[in-house]
Amino acid sequence: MSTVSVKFLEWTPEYTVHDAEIDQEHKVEFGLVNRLHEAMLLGRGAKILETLLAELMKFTLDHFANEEKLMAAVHYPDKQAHVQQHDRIRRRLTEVNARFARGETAITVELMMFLSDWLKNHTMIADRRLGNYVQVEQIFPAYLERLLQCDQRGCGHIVQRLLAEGISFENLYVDLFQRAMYHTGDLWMKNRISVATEHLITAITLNMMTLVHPVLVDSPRSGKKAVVTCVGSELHQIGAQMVSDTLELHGWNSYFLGANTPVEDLLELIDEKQPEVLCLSVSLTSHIGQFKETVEKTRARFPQLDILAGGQAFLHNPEEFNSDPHLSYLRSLYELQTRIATL
Amino acid sequence: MQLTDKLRVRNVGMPLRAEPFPASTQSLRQVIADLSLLNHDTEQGFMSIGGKLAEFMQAVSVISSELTTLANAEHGQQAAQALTHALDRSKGLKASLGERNGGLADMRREVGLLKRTLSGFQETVSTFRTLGLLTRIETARLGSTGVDFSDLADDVSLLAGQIDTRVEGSLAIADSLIPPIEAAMQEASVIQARHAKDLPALISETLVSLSSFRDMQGKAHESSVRLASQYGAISDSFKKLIVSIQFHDITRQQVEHVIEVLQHLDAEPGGKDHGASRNTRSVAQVLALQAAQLADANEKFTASVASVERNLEGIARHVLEMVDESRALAGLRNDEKGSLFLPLEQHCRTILAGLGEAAKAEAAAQSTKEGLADNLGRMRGSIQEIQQTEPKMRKMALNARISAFHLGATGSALDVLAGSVQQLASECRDRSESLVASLGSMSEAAKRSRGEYGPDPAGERANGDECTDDLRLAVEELHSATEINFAQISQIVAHGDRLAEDLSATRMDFSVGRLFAEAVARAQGTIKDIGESAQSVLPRGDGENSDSGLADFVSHYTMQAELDVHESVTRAVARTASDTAQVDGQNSPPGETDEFGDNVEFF
Repeated sequence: MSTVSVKFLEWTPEYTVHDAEIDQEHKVEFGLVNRLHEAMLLGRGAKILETLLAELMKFTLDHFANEEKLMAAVHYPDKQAHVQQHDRIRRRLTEVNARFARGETAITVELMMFLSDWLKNHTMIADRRLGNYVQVEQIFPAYLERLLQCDQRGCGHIVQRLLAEGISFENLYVDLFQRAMYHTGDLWMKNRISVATEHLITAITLNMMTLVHPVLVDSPRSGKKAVVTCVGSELHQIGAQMVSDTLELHGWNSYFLGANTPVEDLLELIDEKQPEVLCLSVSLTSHIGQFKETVEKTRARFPQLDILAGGQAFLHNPEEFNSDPHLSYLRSLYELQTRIATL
Repeated sequence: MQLTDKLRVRNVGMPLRAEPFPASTQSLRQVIADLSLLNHDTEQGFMSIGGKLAEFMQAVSVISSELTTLANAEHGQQAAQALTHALDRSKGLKASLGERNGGLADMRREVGLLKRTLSGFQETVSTFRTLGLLTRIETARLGSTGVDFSDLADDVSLLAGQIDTRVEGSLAIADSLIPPIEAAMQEASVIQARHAKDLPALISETLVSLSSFRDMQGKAHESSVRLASQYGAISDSFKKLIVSIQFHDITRQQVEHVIEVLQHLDAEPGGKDHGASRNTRSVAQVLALQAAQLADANEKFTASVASVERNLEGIARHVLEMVDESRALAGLRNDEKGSLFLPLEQHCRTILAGLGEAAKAEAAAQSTKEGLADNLGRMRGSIQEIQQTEPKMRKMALNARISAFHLGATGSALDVLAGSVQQLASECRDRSESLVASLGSMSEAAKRSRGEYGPDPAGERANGDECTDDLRLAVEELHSATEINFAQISQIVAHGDRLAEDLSATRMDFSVGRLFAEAVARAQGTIKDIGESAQSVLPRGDGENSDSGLADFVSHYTMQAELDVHESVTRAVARTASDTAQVDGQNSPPGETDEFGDNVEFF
């Protein structure tokens, strides 16, 4: 991003969603914000409101429709949440428009805050996430093919290419690694790949994750601590590893215990490290009993400790989280990201 | 492809250990090629970083200029004065608005009186109609005596009808006057309430906000001046950084020097022919020196890169702190919704909306007043017409009385009737005068309601309009000032954020130090291996003596010492080459023996 330009906001290729039409629309959106800003710098924001709001309304309806079409085309898993954000923005814009129609003109600062918020929290986060997904989606079949062939070098080249193209850490973990692991797990359950192949794929995935680690080492520290572990005899530790890496990326010190840690030892470690949060990962529903036991024992010793749980096992058992206010279920790394920002 | 990627790719291709000495030529050439590429790439990389630093300086200059503009901003200077003035005038308006509403109440009362008077007229008309009937009966009786009075009865009926029509019309007008008067009173109450209570309260709140705005502008001025100066210091830091990255010229020359020595060794026949033990020993010494030179370059490079990284990190941290301070200027530090610009904008919006409503109410009241004036005119017309019937009634009654007098006793009843008509004419006159008086009072009340009277009868209405206009202008100016300040601060924050991001990205790209170290370490390893292979072919004891000398030499390494070594090697190589040439019957290229020393750069 060039620092020399005097433009307020500038679209740069890092905001691409890998769809030329939608990229072009985002450039228009940046342009609208810049126009309002330029007018405001001259104290003439109210004078351009009528034209700007009309353009903004039309742009928003067309643009959101196009994005929603793209999400449907690529079977975007986060579509529902994304569309909810669109709905909120549409409602807000309609409300602003109605106020302007009622004669309210002193709304430029508020409108600018709204548009900046839209760019900051939707275009630059949710839309980029969608863009990265589209990017991963294009390469996913090739990655999966190499993974199933246990072609570690081939997988490595793909991951390195994505990293060089600036893919986000979360997209790589969720849309490539996690998705590929779910897919291969499914194949294993259907007995279409052997346990040995499944273990090899797990090992390759863990190796792929190490390619991201230099980024984790360089991320600025927040000083917050977390203990991350699998529950009881749960052996599927990639999910927990991803959680640990995500925490590290966001500046946390994550104590990752991996699989098969006795509860008593876990509690001792919590006592020693005094973390802000304990993260528990459970992949198989057969380990939910051990999960409950771990939570109960932890709660008995650390009543206020925040416990975040995740994993495939809870997909159909969300009722486990109703009673304890300090215990929550996170469906994805994105939710973890949002949650840790509040801790 | 970025510099770091190129280095990675190259490093992957480089063997970790050199081949044994017989294969050293290939290894030597690989080292030369790698070091040349390293020099080229780091040169490019530093040029790019230099360019980035220049861009940062320009960005800092832009931010600094924006801060200076913000510091010198005088937006909204007139707004406070205009708002205060408008507040005073708004208080003055309260009295005149009370007067206006009092006028409307008087009008409402006068309309009541008018209606009562008109109702009295209705009784008069009824009596008149009865008189008309009695007149018709009496004139019919008198007609049997041979006297014709039929016109008299018709005239009485006609006049009664005319009066009745006018009175009914006037009553209808009077009825229609009441709703708009009441509406106007209601609207006036709203305006009065706003001017008397809401608007001053809003203006007071806005003045408080304006005071905060002024404080913010004051703080913004102080902070902006300080921040502009800090950005100036940062610009100086960038200048120093640009100068400091010139260290790369030194290490580049060191590496170039090593490359030239290695190229020379590779090119010399003696370099490949390691038959003569003395020459081999010299080659080993030269290689050890080159390894030492590379170590020295690496040390300088690593230390300088670390220093640049530290400086960039320090600047990035400082920029972030300043961005945070800029954000605080707008009250945006923690929560954008907590920005002081929003309540300010809210106040502006409410005042403008209030003024808009007041203007609408004023327009509606004006329309009511114009309608009222029309209606009063029409009523006045009707009353004038009623007044015009009074002389006719008197004339008709007088004629009837004269006729009755001529008839004598027969005409006595007619005389009574004519007397009653005369009395009714008097009543009509009195009631008409009363109506005229009521209309006069209503006109006065209407004038009061229009604000034509009051503390400043000539200009109070204009004063009120001016006050509203002033207030609107003041609020618009305040809003405009809010916009400008908000946009300027947002721009400074956005540019600062972008600068901090770019600095951070540049700092991350500065892993060139580590990659340089890795590449140089590998080259050192290869050179050392070749040197050791050379040593290994020397007779036992030959290398041991030179080892201790070499260690001592390296520890006292200077460029002059290296030059001496080069010269001695050159002499030895030249001698060996000359011997070889004599044996082979070939001539060495002219001037070659002098080239080595000339190519050494002193730094």
